[in-house]
Amino acid sequence: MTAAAPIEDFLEAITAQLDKTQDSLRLKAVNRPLTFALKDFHIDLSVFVEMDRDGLVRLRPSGPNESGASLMKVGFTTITRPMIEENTIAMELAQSPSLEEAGLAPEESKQLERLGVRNMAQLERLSSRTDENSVSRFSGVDVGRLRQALQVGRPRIDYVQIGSRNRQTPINRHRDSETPTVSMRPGQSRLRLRGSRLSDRGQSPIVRLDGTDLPISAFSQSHIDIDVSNVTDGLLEIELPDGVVEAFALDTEQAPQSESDWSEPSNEEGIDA
Amino acid sequence: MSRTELAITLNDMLAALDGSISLGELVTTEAEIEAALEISFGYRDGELTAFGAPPSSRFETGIQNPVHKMQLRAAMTQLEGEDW
Repeated sequence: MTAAAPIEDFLEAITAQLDKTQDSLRLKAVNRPLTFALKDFHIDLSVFVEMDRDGLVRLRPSGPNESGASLMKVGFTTITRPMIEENTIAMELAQSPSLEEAGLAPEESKQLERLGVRNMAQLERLSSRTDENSVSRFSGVDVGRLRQALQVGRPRIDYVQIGSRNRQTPINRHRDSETPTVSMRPGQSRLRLRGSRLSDRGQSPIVRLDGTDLPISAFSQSHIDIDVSNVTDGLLEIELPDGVVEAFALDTEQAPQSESDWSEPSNEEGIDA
Repeated sequence: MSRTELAITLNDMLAALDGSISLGELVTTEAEIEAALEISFGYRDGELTAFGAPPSSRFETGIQNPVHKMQLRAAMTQLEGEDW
């Protein structure tokens, strides 16, 4: 008996085969550029539709000796590069924290998935175009829980990394001061800020020291590397993708002298600025 | 049950349409094919894989109807080859 699979996997398996066909044709075209290629592919599948305990719809193709199957008609066609670019979600949206990472329960995530919301970026986008109450009403998720998740999932800086990779310097938040202090040793050339959702759609974050833009050597969703050679004490401001500005007091005098220099061990994918 | 990957079947069908082209000859530029297809799914190397091939001879007897059908439209296309 053939395997029953979730509808997404089912369609993906067929799509993968069509992609494989096109890839083979591209190889064939090295020696034979003018060749027949697939333009459209339609398939009438007799399937049994099942639903598992988690509410996941599964399909199983019927065999020749089975009756009572449903007919599913699926059409595939070739698409152009502009169509892909216009309709594919941005990489940043796909890399956004999941709903569970923002503290929502699996059942709440499933309720939001029915509205097409699969991660925090999509939840934010929907909430900004309507409002949290509407999202709550249509999804059935408590509005307080939604607000809590949105707060947790917003862009933020968690800590500043100075020197070697294994040494994480927490942001020193003074109780009596609004601006946390970042202590840096003299001669330090780079500063890495770590957090989540630090860039939006590949756009470089904005970092200023006392109002002057500082060069960014690399950035990704989870880190920003700032070139701080030849800077002095001052107010370091980072404008996050949601428009919120995080400010730190940069202090070059208090850090210990024995700390090793910045090592660049990161294999993490980042965008060179 | 068919264990030929659908991609192989489709490539074979497209290859069957290709012929030698000589200057001044009439050539086929587009073809539409409707055919019965025996489809099944299974896991190969841990991934769900679609298998598909023309049905075996039992369908020709008229005892059992074809279960799945496909319709494909292929066109003569100038492709850019992949460099190795």
